[in-house]
Amino acid sequence: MMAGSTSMFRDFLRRLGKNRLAVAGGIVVSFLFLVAAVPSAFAPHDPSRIDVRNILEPPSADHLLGTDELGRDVLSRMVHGTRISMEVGFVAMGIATVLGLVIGLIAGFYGRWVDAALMRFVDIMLCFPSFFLILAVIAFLGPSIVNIMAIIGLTSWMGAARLVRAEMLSLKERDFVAAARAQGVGDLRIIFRHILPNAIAPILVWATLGVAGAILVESSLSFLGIGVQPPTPSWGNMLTAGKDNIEFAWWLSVYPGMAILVTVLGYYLLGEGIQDAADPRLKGR
Amino acid sequence: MLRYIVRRLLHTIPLLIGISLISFLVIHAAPGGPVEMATDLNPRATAEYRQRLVEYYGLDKPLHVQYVEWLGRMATLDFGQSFSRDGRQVSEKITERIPVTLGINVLSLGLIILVAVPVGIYSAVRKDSWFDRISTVTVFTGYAVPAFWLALLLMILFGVRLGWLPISGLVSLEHESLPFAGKVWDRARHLVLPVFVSAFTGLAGFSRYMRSNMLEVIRQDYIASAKAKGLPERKVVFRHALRNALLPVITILGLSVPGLLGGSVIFESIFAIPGLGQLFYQGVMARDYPLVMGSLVIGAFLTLLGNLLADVGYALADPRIKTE
Repeated sequence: MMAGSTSMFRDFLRRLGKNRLAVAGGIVVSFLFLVAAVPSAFAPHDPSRIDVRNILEPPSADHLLGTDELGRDVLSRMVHGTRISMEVGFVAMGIATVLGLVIGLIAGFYGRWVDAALMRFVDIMLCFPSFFLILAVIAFLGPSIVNIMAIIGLTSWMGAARLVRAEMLSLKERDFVAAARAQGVGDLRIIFRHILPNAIAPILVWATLGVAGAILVESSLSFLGIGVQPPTPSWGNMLTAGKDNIEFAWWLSVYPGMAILVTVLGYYLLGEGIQDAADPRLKGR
Repeated sequence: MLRYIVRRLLHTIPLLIGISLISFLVIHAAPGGPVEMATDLNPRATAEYRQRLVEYYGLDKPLHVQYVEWLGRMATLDFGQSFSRDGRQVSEKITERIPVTLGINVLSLGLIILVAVPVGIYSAVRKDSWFDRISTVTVFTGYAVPAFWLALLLMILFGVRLGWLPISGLVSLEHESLPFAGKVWDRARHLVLPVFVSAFTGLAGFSRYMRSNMLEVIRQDYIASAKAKGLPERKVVFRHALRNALLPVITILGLSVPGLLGGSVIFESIFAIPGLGQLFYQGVMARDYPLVMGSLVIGAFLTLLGNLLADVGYALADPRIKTE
């Protein structure tokens, strides 16, 4: 297994590289990382500088994407909003992935009543309209970036748990696991050394698509005024200003939404690409 | 069949208990419990509210007693009184909002099926054609586009720029004075944008799903043999393949309930539509806890009902499902 794994990975990268849409998605995501890491290198102005003489200016040479209701530069605010979106997406999915992994592993490995109980718990969590649950918890705890990350993570791990469990169930009956067990290898070592590596691809795909989903949820929450709070810029709360000024400032509505669209699309294309490259048999499904 | 339904109903009991437990925990999760939160965060939460909460939750009793009593109230749909100025029963407020939300979602589901089924079939039958590629790209965009942004853009284009459609509410101010036909027309004009927005995001998933079902079915042996005996393609597709490809759609319809409810919060608050989503959103903003809890429980209940109907519907439609 070990000898084959590097060439398998190379095969995977080669297939991923051939998929033009996935490469495009990868480029978008890498670019976003760069913007999020050094926003000041991309922002032409200070995102929080208020300029009362230039309120709601349409796009111009000085303000490429116009200014908002306080005269702040829209492009600069979008650039700085990138980091928030990426952070929320990654932390929330990190929480969800770890939770899903742990619950899925325990359910799949121990089976029987443990499995039945945990899967019932998954069913119950899936019964709540997740957006309702998120809103309700925020109503109680109050909106803050940390709360939002935690709540999105805590309400979206169920898919990962089901995935991991299914992988466990099919892998633990395989000969190489039986062989390891016959040699007296312990439970934990079997899980982490022999089973988990085989389940990484589907989880990676799930998490990549999940980051996109979390960014969408965060922007919706911020748009509704219960996510990232002004004056911290986020794409969602910039669009709130767009709605308030819908009669006279179209640029406030158009550009931040475009950033969300491109970001989410980038993650989706990358995720789908990873899926096709990891399991070419399923391509086109 | 009856036995299957009964068994399926029995299965929902543990789910119901789980839903109630989690809802109960949500309100007790915050530090200090519901009363402290109410007084800290809700500027309107006076001593009277505090008293009302203590009474409603029986906060002076042990936790398990509280839970059992609260469960009894849930079973009779007693969610307590709203914190808003009218102080009405939460269950009353919710029930009067459900028809609006249900109506719009049914319309948008209809639209979704009307568009997604033919698109999905055609892209499956003509896999990798230009049509398939264009619809695939559209589908991805549909996944990625935030519903509230799409709503904003459409409002700018059709409401502000062109002035063709109203951008808020369900009826115009002068609605009452209109003749019958005028009333219908007025309502329809108000519904165009919300229904379109709510359908667009669902459209993507549905047509993609339809496409993969169809691809799955046309790979089967019985389709090959139908083709081999010389049946025209049209007949093979519509008489033999379509019925089986449509079956899983029933399940997806049932499973789409939570997404639709979540979506309602967004489009109802943007278009100022007086439905359940808007009520819930207002409740969250005003920290009207009885209202929030009531909506959460009702939302979960509707989701459960959706799943149940989907399973029963599937069993009715597909004779291969063993119901005994």
